[in-house]
Amino acid sequence: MAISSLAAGQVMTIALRRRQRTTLFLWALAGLLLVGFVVSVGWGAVGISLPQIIAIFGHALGLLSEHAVDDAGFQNSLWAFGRREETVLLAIRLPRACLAILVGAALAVSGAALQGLFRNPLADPGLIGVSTGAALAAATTIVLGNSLAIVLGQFFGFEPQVPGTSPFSFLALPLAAFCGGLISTFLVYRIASHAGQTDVATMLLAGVAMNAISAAGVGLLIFLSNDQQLRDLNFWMLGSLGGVTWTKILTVAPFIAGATIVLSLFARHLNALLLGEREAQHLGFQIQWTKRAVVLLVALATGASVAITGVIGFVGLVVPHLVRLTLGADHKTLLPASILLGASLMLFADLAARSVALPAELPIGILTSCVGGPFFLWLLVRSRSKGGW
Amino acid sequence: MLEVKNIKVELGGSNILNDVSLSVAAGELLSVVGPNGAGKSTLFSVMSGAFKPQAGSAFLEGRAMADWPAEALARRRAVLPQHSELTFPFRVLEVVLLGRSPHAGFSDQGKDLTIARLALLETETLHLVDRVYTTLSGGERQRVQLARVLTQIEFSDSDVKGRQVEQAVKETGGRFLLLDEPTSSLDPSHQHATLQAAVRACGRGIGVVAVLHDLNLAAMYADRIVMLKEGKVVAQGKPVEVLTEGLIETVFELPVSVMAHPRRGCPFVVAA
Repeated sequence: MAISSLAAGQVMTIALRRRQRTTLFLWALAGLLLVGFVVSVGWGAVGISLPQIIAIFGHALGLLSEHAVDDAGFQNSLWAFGRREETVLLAIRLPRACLAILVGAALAVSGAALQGLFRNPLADPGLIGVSTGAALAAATTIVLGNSLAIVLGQFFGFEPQVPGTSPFSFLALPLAAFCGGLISTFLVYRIASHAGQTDVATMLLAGVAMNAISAAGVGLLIFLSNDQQLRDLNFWMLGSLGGVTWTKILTVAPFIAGATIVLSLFARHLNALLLGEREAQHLGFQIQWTKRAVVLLVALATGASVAITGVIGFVGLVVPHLVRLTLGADHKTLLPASILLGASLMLFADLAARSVALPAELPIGILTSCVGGPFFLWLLVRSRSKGGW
Repeated sequence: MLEVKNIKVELGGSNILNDVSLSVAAGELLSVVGPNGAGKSTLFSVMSGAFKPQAGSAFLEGRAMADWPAEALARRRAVLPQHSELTFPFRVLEVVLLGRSPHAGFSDQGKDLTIARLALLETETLHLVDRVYTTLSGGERQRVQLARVLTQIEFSDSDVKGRQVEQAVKETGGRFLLLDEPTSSLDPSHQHATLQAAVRACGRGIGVVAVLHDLNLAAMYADRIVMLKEGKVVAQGKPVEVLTEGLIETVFELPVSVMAHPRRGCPFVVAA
């Protein structure tokens, strides 16, 4: 009996130690995110120090009155900031950092969820056709948008507006991309579903086929486009966080943030799914419902992200891997950790993208693929030498 | 009581199961035997509620499987698959605790850990508790999976210890463990250890259905044996009644000699 009671303590200790390690790791990631955020909003042509950042936020939130800011003592302190710093921070850097956090978190958690759903560590958010579907729709809008507007205008009898004059024209591209992503995912899902059951292996293959079809469509549109359109198209396809405004962010934030948060509630389901679909069913999970929900949420989160930033590769693939290497496969920690790490990595990637080629800005998609690709190869080689995943 | 009544299954135009009826009571170990392609796995899927037959139904405690809420059903019956698809780096403890999923909201971490530890002890895998599942051998994985399904139902709701089995079954309803070739990757000593664990589970009022290929294991541990051939029940009853030379020769098309086990007295089958 002594042996088994000792073992009882051991099991407790092991569980407790794991939990402590996980908590510590999550706090460290949260710290990394905070550092990334401060550096990201402070770094650039106009440098803003940490006290200045705090003071500007305090001022913007009304905690620091005009009177206090104008005070001579304040003006001579570390906290002093000018109108220029304030504008740069609030109108340019902050929305950009928020977008980086949203998109990084969404792509990483989508990748983690899809890898669980497909029980395949190589799944990434683009696999269900959402990214290339969005790309095809975006390309169509860029290349054929004006002609399409005229044709539709004649058909329905209204005057097409000159592009750029309507208050909502800046939304046309993201909206088209978002819808394109959802439609493409829906098709992939339908193809893989039969008699109320969705076969994930078929879905994977259908996603590959759909990606090829969309890529061909994009290729055709590139062939049709003029120089300016080609430039726009390329820029979109390579991904960028630049030129973002609060309006744009507020339009997509509910989709991205909502879907990301709801996805992270599927930890238990995804854990069970890793055992196999039938086993998850035997454990009392509604598998078909779970599959539908996860695919929809990933399509929403990724679609909305891609719609604004263009295609940013490798974040959704690499981040969950990094977390699994340190914390194991349990989705209860994998999902929140992926959110934090994805957001941090995106902040740092964006920082690099706008710093390495000053005064120009490197498309962030190039950067993430440049760094993510070799890193992933290294992971592959390493795990092979260790014997599997 | 877990039962199937007059089930009929057709897959791809061929009759897999034809008018099969059988039942398992709480505390009983029923072994399903039969040659390859006899319909054992399909019968197993139907009994677990995963597969809906074209005709007939499976019932748990008199209620059709399809009418059970998924989570409530999962607290009553657990299923050990032949193979596990798990390829992600879970720790053994995490795998076993997955068995507690249907109890979320009814249990707490302390209780879950106690149950997981008992199950690991029961399957002789406690020493593996902090290992990464994917680095285990096939046999170790199978035993860890057994521990997982044991945590799912074995000690759930209430521990039977110190009370009469009939009383516990009356209070909590029957619980059932379905094992699909639970000994397929095990060494001889662990084959017996696994079936002894199943027998102990029966002692706690759990009904066990085990698909077995080793007729001697079935003879030693089963209370009842069901013999299938070409989708039909050829014989069912106590091991002595079912494991006869004539029946085995017709069903398995293998000439055998059946004698009495030198120590236990149960049938002992050797190829002739």
